[in-house]
Formats: sequence, C-alpha cells, structure tokens
Amino acid sequence: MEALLTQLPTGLAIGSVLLLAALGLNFTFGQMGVINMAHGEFIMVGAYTAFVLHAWIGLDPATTLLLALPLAFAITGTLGWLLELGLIRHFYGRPLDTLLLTFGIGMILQQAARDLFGAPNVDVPTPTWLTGGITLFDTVRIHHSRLFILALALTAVAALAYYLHRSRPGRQMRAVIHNRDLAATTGINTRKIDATTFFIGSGLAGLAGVALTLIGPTGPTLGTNYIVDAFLVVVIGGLGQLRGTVIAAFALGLLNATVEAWADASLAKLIVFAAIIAFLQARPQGLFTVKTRSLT
Amino acid sequence: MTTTPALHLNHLNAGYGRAHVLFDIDLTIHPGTIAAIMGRNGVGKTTLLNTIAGLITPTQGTITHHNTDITHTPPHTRIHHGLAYVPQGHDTFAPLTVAENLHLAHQANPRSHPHPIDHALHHFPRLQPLLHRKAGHLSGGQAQQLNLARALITRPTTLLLDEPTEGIQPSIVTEIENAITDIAAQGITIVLVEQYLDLALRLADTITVLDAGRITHHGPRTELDHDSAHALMAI
Repeated sequence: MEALLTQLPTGLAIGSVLLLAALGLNFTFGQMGVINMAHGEFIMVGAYTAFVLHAWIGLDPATTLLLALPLAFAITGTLGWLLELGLIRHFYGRPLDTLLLTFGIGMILQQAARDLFGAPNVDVPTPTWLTGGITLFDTVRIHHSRLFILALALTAVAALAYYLHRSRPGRQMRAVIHNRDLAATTGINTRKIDATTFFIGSGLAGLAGVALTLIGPTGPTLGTNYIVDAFLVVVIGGLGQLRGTVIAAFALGLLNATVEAWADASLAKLIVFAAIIAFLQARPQGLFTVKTRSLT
Repeated sequence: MTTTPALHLNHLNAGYGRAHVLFDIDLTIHPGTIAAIMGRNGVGKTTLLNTIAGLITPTQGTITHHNTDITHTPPHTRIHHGLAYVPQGHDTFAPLTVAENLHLAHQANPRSHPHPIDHALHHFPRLQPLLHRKAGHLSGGQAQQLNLARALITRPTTLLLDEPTEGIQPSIVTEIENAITDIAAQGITIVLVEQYLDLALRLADTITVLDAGRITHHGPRTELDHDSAHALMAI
C-alpha cells in the first residue's frame, strides 16, 4: 500500500502529461478519425515556444510560463489548422496516406527544430513558485510543478467539456462528428468545423509541450516519446470520449509508475503494452462508447 | 399561367466515383406541389435527392432552385436558400437532446423560425415530453418527427423527403402523412421518395418513376390508377 502511495504523485504526473497530449488527439483522431503523426511534433513546438520566450526574448521564468501557454496554443493550433487546410483535407477517407503524410510533416518539423535550436536538449527554467513541493503522510512528496500540470490538464478538460456541451460551435462540432452529411444539410458549414476542430486539437498539443518543459529537458524528439502512449489513451478511453480519455490517461499513468517502481523501463513498457492488449481484447470499443437506441 | 419552377433539373448526371448512377435527368417541379419519386431499390432515388441536396456533385447538368442555379452551392448554403432535406434512415444528432437538435438547426440558419421549439411542437406535439431526452434514445417514429421538425424550423420553400415512413409503426405513419399534408398546405414544395405506393398515390400531385437511373415515367397522379402505377413500378 505504501509503495503504491509513493508512486501516486509520479503516476498522477505522468497521467496529467498523457492527458494533455491525448486531449488534442481526442479531437483530431478520436472525433475526426485523422491519424496525425505530427501531433507529437506539435507538442515539441509548444515546448520550444517556451524556450524561445525565455532564451531568445529573455523573459523571466514566470512570465515565460504564463505567456507560453496561450502563445503555444495559438502557434500549434495555427500549424494544425494549416496542415488540415493545406494537406489533410485532401486525404479524407485515406487513413494510410494521412498517416504517412503527417509522419513526414513530423520529420520536417523535427529537422527544423534541429536546425533552429540544435540537436542537444535545452532547458527552460521553472518559475520559483513552482520549484517547491508538499509532503503528504511523511513519505509522499509532490512537486508544485506537477500539481500545476495536473491543474492545467484538469482545467483543459473542464474548458473542453464546457465548449463541447454548452457552446454553439461545440454542439455543431458534435453534430458534424455524429453525422457529417446530416450536419451539412442542417446548415452547418462542416469545412469550417473541421478547421476549428483541428485548430483546438493541435493547440492542446502546444499546451502539453509547455507543461513538459516544467518536468524535463526539451529536445527535437520530445513529442515522439509521448505520441504512442497518447494514441493508446484515446483508444482505451473510447474514441472521442472525453470521460474515457481522462480515466485512461490517469490509469495508464498510474500503471506506468507502479510497474516502473519494480521493473526496469523496457520491461515496464512491455508489461504496460501487454495489459493494454489484454484490455482491448476484452473491450475493443474502449471504456466508453456513444449509446444510441439504434446501436443497442 | 406559367410559374417559375420550384426545382428544375436539367440534364443531370451523377454518381459515386466511377459508378454512374443518374443519367440525363430532366425534371421540373412546380411550387406548392408534392412530387413523388418512385422506383425499386437501387434505381437512384436517394442519389437523386443527395444530388439535389448537394451531398453529391453532379458530373453534368444543372440544378435550379427558384431561378437560382445551385449546382455548385455547398449543401449547408442550399438550406439557407430554402432547400431542406430529411434523409433516409431517420438518423438524428443522437448525442444531443431533442431541444439541442432543434436549436442547432435554428442557430445554423439565418432564415429560421424565431421560436424554434414552439414551431416544432406546433407540428409535432408528441415531442413535448421528449425535449430533454437524447435524440439517440428516440424510437424511429419519434426520430422522424424530430427530423421533420428540424427541417421545418429552417422555413424551407422546398422539402426533400427520403422514405419518411420507412420502418415506422403504422399509427405514427398516419401522423407523418398528416404532417406532410399540413406542410404542403403551407405552400412548401415537397419532393417525396416513397416506396409505399398507396401513400404516394394519396399524397402526390405528380409521379416520377425512375429505373436504372433514368426517368421512365413522369406525369400527374390523376393519370395513374393503382394498377397502372403498379405496372410502372414493376418494370
């Protein structure tokens, strides 16, 4: 029990990062069905946004963090929007081509990062008010920065839930996702909705990138470390299901943390993947699905 | 007296990719009439409605709606021009509530009725107790009433209906038939794809029969009795 408790903060931290990375995929992959392999590189772009603000423009760590969050969202959102508008739009219904195409875009972005910032990892300093931590039950220590990421992830979830369920464009998005033709003939501009969905989904990758600068170094391949796990979170949660994504992210985070506590990293990865395969064998539709009368 | 046609299809050809489905469709539908499109499964009835609604781009020919060429207008703009579509299979926006389904149509259409819920309940009072239910939980008949209501909110001048009574219990079929009569009485032009011959013969002003993507018969319903209609359908 105590072993589990000490791993709880690590699990929650991994879960929060996975959640931020997966939230965007929940939009572009879960809802629109587009496999965007460049999503990981959007995370990397978000992280370098914070780096540029600090190292190139010279902002202090606190201002960097607070400014990087909206700026990274806007930059990666715009990148995603351009990607959808210029390329992905012409490949709808061709998932394999989309996968290869976005994989290539990801490679280009990685190389661009190497050219601009160099291959070695860089660091973005954490604001002083996030450097401490709190201690629970004498043994469990939670860093402020990890609490901040947890809060950021949960805030993003709440904002998305509000957007999807309470706002007009959010409801239109859900309508388009449910039945594109029906939405179009109801008067909804589905092209515009696709562009918005991609903007938000990609923008969330930027937020994840900024969050990652708080817990580790930033490098050109930063996103690739998270992209597979993020896709898994979306699949386990049930495609396009916000609730499922949240639960799956934290479940995977905690599983990772507890297994890694007694096994080495490679073995831990193997065990986690085996657990996921077993889960998907039993429940291929993921944790949650949309329930309609016609499907039951 | 000559009137501007509500809908005029000129030499329309359409299909899916390489599959050519519709061949040289010429059809004029006058305002305020109910035009039934009939034919067996797979002759192109739904393709015809999908093309008129803008979900399929014709390979050749033009579509004119009240003197406006809409051949290359995207589907969401066609409804803004007063051309509404209730597709086959009574699918609704299942994850949204009935009220949200109605508001969605209201908000997406500048010309829509100012009081969408009242307008919908006026036509379909059965929806009243269901307003806050998820549309995915409605029965087929309730869903079809919701779909008709959602189309009517946009105050269309022309309504395309694809098999509105397919797979729906008989008591609701009567309600839907009455609703179609009411809608037509308001002067809304209706293009009705229907396999149920008796219903079509009761409602329609003109009957158009399709076979293998071509029009094989077009004329006023009064020209047809039940037996000759049956004979036409069986070709």
